[in-house]
Amino acid sequence: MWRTVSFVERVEVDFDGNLFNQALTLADIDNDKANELIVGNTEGDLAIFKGTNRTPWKVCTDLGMITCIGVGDVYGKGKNILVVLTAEGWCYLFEVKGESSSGENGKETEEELDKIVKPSFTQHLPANGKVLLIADIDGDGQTEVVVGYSDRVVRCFTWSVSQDHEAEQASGKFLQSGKWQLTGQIGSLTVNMCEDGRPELLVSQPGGTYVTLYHDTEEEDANIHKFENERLGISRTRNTSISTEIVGGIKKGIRGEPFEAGTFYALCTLDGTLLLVENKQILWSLQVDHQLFSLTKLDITGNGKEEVVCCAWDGQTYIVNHTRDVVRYHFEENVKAFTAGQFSVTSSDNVPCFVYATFNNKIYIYYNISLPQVESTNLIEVMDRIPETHQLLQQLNIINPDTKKLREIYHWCLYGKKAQT
Amino acid sequence: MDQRGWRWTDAHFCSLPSQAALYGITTTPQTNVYTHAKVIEPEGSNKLLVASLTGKIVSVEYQRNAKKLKPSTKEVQFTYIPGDAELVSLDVATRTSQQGSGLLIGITFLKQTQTEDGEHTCMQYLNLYSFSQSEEDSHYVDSVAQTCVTLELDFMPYQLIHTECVTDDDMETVFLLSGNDQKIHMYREDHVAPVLRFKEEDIENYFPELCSPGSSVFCTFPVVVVLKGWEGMFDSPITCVKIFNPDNQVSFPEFMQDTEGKNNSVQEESPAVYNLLVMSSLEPTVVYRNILANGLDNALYLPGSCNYDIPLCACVADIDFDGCNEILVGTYGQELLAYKLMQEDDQIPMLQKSPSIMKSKISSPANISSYIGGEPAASPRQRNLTGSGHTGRDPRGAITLPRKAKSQENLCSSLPKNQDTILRGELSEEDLNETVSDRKLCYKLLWQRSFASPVVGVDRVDIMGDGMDDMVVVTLRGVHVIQPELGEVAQVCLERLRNLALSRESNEEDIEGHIQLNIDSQLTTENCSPETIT
Repeated sequence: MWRTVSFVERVEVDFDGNLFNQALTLADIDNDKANELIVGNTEGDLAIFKGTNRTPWKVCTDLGMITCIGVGDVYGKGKNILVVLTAEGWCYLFEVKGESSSGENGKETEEELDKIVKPSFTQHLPANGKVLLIADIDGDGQTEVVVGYSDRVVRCFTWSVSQDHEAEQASGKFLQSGKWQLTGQIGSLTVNMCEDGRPELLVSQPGGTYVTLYHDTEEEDANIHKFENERLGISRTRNTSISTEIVGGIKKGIRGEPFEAGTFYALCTLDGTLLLVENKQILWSLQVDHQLFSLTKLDITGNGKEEVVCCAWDGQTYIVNHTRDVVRYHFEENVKAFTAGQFSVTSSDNVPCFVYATFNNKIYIYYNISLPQVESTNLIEVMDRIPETHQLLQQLNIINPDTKKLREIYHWCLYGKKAQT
Repeated sequence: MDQRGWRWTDAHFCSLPSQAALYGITTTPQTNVYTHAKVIEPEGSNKLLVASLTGKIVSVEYQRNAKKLKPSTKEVQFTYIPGDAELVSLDVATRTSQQGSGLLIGITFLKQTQTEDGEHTCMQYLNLYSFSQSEEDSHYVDSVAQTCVTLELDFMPYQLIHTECVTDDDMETVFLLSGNDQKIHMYREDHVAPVLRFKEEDIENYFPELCSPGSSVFCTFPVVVVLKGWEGMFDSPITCVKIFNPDNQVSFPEFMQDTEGKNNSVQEESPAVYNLLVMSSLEPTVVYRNILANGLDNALYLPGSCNYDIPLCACVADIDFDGCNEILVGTYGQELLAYKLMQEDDQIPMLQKSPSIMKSKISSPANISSYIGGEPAASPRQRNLTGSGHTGRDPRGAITLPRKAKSQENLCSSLPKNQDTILRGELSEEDLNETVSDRKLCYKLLWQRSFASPVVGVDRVDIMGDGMDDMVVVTLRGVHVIQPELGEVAQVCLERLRNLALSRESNEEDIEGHIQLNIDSQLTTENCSPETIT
């Protein structure tokens, strides 16, 4: 049986309408180092929540059917930009400014106006985008916007500033820089670090598989880029059309080794398989009875190693570390969207959080979730890992103690203060 | 290093089986956990039995398989409990009679029956199970109960407890059961019968003080000897009563004793100090200190203990490993509050537990103290409420250096190790004196922790078998096993092992010289800037 925990402290915010799992994200959009929660629904409402407020900090309406939200430095200016993509193909960029100096115009209407954010740039891209990734996928230092479409196409866009009108305000737009035509429906997109430090772009495919996308093109058609199907050697036969999620860049957290040592990536399927993969080798797999639909990574213990966090439709949440120790948390409601990440509950500190969007038009942010360790452990095990313990026990003439003796010694150490004087 | 927050986190949460899910929609579980009892087994594999109203009894324990420690929850089947029974109370006792040792488990339950003419009647029973100890299998509770004694009750059972009772020339475990007939009933093993049999005995012969409790008894506590009687009156129902020692006494492990020098084998016999904790539903919880000497005169209040709905349960345990017992209060308002006896101007170790939101929920400590300061002198109709009853000021307002707590914790890593050992000896003695001299002590809220449903029980049990007492918190939805951050506990444990090793080495050496040196170094550290230590 797996360890289970219960989380209590939460922020409850109101948000109406249906939303996609990709349209719920935690990121710092006003560049104040404190993360916000950004949500968009299918009615076209965008809301940004900050801190413990129940009501949105910023809103925007009538955007269309928002399918995904991403945050990243798309302009390449070292500033986070909010990117909202709709099913109709509209891509909205928002430059959200931090807290404006309030108090000067104290009128309520002004405050209401202050709440509304307007997109600073709009561009029509191909329609039916369902997943969005904003990252540097080719290691050139520039951030790309990668969109996966419901017609099994992945397109990559780069921001380009037109140099013609230098006198005018520099205008820019997204230019398509890559296109991949895949064979299966796209689950999610992710970037993973290879062992040689290069980023690789991975796309999950039905049946617990994924493809690696390459930047070089096919010989016959220069517009179509190459990709490679990866078949993971999973013994279990199962539904080959089951939808699959992938998350990459899971930090190994090995001390002394640089980030370039590569990262893990994880896959989950809707029929309950969870895999941790390193360099095409499955490190472990896990089978659960719940329908896993959302997969994220989060360092919940604060030790530098990122855990895999996976959520099922019925609220069952699994936190799994690199050695396959599992902690479960059961959110007692059905979940329509889930994410895990850093969020700022107080003014500046980001803390690990779980965000659940329910069918009751409420979003819950659980903010006091950090755990000392993922596995179940006791004092004897912890002491055993400290080399000095063995040395001290030897000094005390306790050689090869059994559990019973250790228990007595530790019990006395912790509670027998008077006897020590 | 010295000011540890001792953040206790969930080691495990066991959600108790809830009533059937309707059409796939999991309804909020309405498992009314009524009662729990801990099972202390000799092999250290302690477990906890939790009984719910629905008639299920669940055992929570830890198991080790494939070198990994895993929590395990099992439903334990007890025979002769009908499926539709409603459990009321549960108690586990270790049997120490001539007829053998082992476990005794008592369960009281109600059973609704429908007679032929359609009338509902309710029958009440007390089932007593015995588990004998066998050599190979130490897991008694898993094995089927060997014998079961069913007693039909003609009253509504409430709380079931066990206590040691002085019979003719022996100590014997007996069960006490309070009922709605305003009486306490005693059940004692029948030694004459060849098989296990229990019979009700007249309580007057054994516990004459319990024969007329006056009103409905919901809460009882075991008493060994009654020395004195006091009477106090509370305005609201009393939910929990506990007698405890302010300090812990743990004997030195036997297997180390023989190789041990004289300094450790000498156990300091401290006078028995008994404190009495009385928890009442609408008033702050009261601790009467040293009741054998002072009666109910020396009262201390736990500030804010009634701010979260009714306080329901309490546990006395040393949760910060300084040798003194703290008090944990579980409330219906889903909070577990930890109180520590401190000097009035001591600061509470800052615990970076939950950010901001709690602040709005917790009324500020200043408010609490002003309320406490004004109200309780009037509310419990006590004869004497001395000044010690009024509680602390805003801890953040009192700007003092946390020197006291530091010396208690005694982990000044900056000092050389052997000096530290002797310094420890000095300070703990000082500690003791201060406790006795009783100046301006008060209980302060050390930390609090929220739960997802009302807390109905809290207990300390070493459920993981590692020598450290874990805290078991029973809520209406399940059982939480909470433990402090083990890395920090390991540091404390290591420090004390280190001291022990050093004290042994320095045993033969000239200690006198060291002491002189240490006092000097202690003085300098105390006088010069304390930031160097913090």
